[in-house]
Amino acid sequence: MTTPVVAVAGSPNAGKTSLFNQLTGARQKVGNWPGQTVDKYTGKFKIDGSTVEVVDLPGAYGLVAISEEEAIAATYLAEGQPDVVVTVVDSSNLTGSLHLAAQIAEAGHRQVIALNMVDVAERRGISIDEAVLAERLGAEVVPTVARRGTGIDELKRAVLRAFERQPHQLIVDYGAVVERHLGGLVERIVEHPELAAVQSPRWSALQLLAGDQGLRRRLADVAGGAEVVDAADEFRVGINKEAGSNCEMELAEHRFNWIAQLVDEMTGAAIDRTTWSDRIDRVLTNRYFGIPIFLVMMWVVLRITADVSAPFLDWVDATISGPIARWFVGLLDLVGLDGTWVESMVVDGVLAGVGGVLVFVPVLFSLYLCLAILEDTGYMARAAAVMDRAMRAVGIPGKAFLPMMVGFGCTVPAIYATRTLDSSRDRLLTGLIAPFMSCGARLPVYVLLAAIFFAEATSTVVFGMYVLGILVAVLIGLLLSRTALREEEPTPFVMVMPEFRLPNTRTVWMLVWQRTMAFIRGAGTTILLASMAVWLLLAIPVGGGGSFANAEVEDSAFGVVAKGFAPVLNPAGFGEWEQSGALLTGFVAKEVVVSTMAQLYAVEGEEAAAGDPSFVDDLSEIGTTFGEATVDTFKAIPGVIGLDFFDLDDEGDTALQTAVRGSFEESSGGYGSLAALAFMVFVLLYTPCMAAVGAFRHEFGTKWMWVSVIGQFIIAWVGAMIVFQGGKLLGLG
Amino acid sequence: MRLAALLSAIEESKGPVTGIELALRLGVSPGEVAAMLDALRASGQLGPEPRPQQPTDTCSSAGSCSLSCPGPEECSLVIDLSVAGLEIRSSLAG
Repeated sequence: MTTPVVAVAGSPNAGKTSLFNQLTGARQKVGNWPGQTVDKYTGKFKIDGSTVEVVDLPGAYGLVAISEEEAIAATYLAEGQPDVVVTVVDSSNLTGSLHLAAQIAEAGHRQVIALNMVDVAERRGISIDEAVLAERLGAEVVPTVARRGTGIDELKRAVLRAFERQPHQLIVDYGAVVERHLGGLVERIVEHPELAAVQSPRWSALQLLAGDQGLRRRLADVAGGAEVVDAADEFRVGINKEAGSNCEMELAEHRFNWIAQLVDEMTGAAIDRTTWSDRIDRVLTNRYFGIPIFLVMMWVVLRITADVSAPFLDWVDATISGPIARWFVGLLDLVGLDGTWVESMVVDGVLAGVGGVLVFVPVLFSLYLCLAILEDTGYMARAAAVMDRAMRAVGIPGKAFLPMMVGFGCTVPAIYATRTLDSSRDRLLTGLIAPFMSCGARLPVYVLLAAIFFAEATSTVVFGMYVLGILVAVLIGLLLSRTALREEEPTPFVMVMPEFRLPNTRTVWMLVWQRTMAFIRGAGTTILLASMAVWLLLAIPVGGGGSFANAEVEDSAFGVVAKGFAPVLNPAGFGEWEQSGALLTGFVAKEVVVSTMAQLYAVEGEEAAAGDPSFVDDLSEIGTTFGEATVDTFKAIPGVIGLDFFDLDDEGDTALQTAVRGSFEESSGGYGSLAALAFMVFVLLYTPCMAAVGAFRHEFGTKWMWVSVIGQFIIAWVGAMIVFQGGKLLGLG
Repeated sequence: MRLAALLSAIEESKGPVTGIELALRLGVSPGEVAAMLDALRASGQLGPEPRPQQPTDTCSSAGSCSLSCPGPEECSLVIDLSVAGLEIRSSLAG
């Protein structure tokens, strides 16, 4: 005696996988569907002395196959002929789930309905009359909560009972016109016994009229199949003419009405699953309020990022430049390397460079925390929708919003994400403007300079950089779409947004942790290598006197190259060789701008007098200052919304800040703030990094890569010059 | 012919459109639009937006855009915008 087979079907998110796991427990096998890459899960369950084999079908919304998963489910139901189908219906979304259940009933399968997530439906006040559903679908209905295992044994028994039942075929009335043509097609099918044996003739006729490509292919190998497919096409044309609309739409409309009526009868209410999330959406994605709300959100995020994290930034800075630097020097002293080039490399290269970037870990941590909370609530999807509308208004492809939002994190995946766009024109246009979105790596540069020159408005200046990036992207997009890359007909599509929810602590923490660790890993790899390379170039004397690791920095290999580039940047107010040098190394990665500055100004600056505290003193200092930073952070939180209850100490400029301030004042002839602002604009707009250039070349070719690199440099130079020279003309700074 | 009206509204949207916008345009509730989208999805009129072979659309580094970014293939720093798109597929079914 063969083991009876039950197939588990359901739409995605109906809880099908949970139910399959509950049914089969540990008795599962994983394989592949024939000729497909989709995993096939099978298992067994025993109940009341009977063993049943269970096949988990891929998630499907319906049996008119669109996706690979739906094609597999439809083919298995037609050809595999399971003894019973368990259809998982999401009780909180009956209309979404019942299409599949109705189609399985129309196909004439023995069916059991697992009315899943009844707890969620109850919480939403949805009361379901199971008897109505059972009667209309001709199937036993079992309420379940698969996540908790509720109703599973009852479901297993219902499956056993279903084996004994006669199959029931649901007949939906598709209206006079469709029914007449449907009847005609059924007659043509039953003329061929082999075709009639494939599946219920009425169901085959319905699928052919619905244009199901999978069935058409299967019938091609059956005697009389081609003839019936041709006949189906004629009937489809007939329906189109007589009904005055498309045949598939006629079928969909009637089935939708049938389900709407069923839901009405089952729940005593018409279909309307408008949720509180929809109500919030009316405001957040509103045509007029959407963009201002988005900008306020970004401003709050950056205010938190810049202001609340500041005490921890100072703490990390003091810890690296104090205790940790002393420990390294002490260790080198122990092994007899004090005063050698090795000590110079470790202190002036690695510690200054890597440490200069690690100082910004609290800033990035705050940014990631805020973004993760916004993402997990579902707001970022709304932000994308809001941005999309603004972009479309100026001729930029709507779908560009996704790569551009990704660009807030990193330009490299943003460029790869342009693959989601339809045409090569849209892809190129988006690829050209996505780098102007301010990526996370530029943030340390903004924070460093804004804290030095705009201490009272750090977060506002940083926010301004982000907004400027969006504006430049839109402006360049507008220009390109009116000239070299003319607009094409846009593709319509519906954005399906997740419901708003409270952020999940675990998810948020995982996101923040992963991103912060990647930043730290970057400091340990790219930044470390770049810092050592810069140190090496600084250590090599060129032309002037000095020996290796004892060269005058201006006469070092680095100094000579940077000096050659510096005059180009003079009109923008930052033509000192240290500044041009930092920008040159920034081509590797934007964090390297900061690490190079830390190295150059540390090399040039005077070393602070160091005491000789013990190891225990150092640990005590780290702990004490951490506690102070925590207290200061809490004190800074009310300041985000403009409530300054506490008078936070201004710790004054660090040695690096003093050196940077002096350098910009000198290079700009006393317009240090304007030059710093111009420098930030340059960092925002010039080539993001080597990896981004590589990604661009990979996606769009060498020619467009050069267009992008040179174009970004020109835009950055012009933008920085406008800020500096324009500011001077207006008497600012 | 509510579904046909919804499909027309999507076609006329000239780009991405949200359920709220469609509801306002058709004068129905967002819940009704969601139900109708389900119907169009189940009947094969709307399909998921085609995704690229590489999972770049869900991968994003929010850390560093330098070599420290593990790239689109292995990026552990995922910004999941949770944006799904549904495109009109009636031409495929014809």
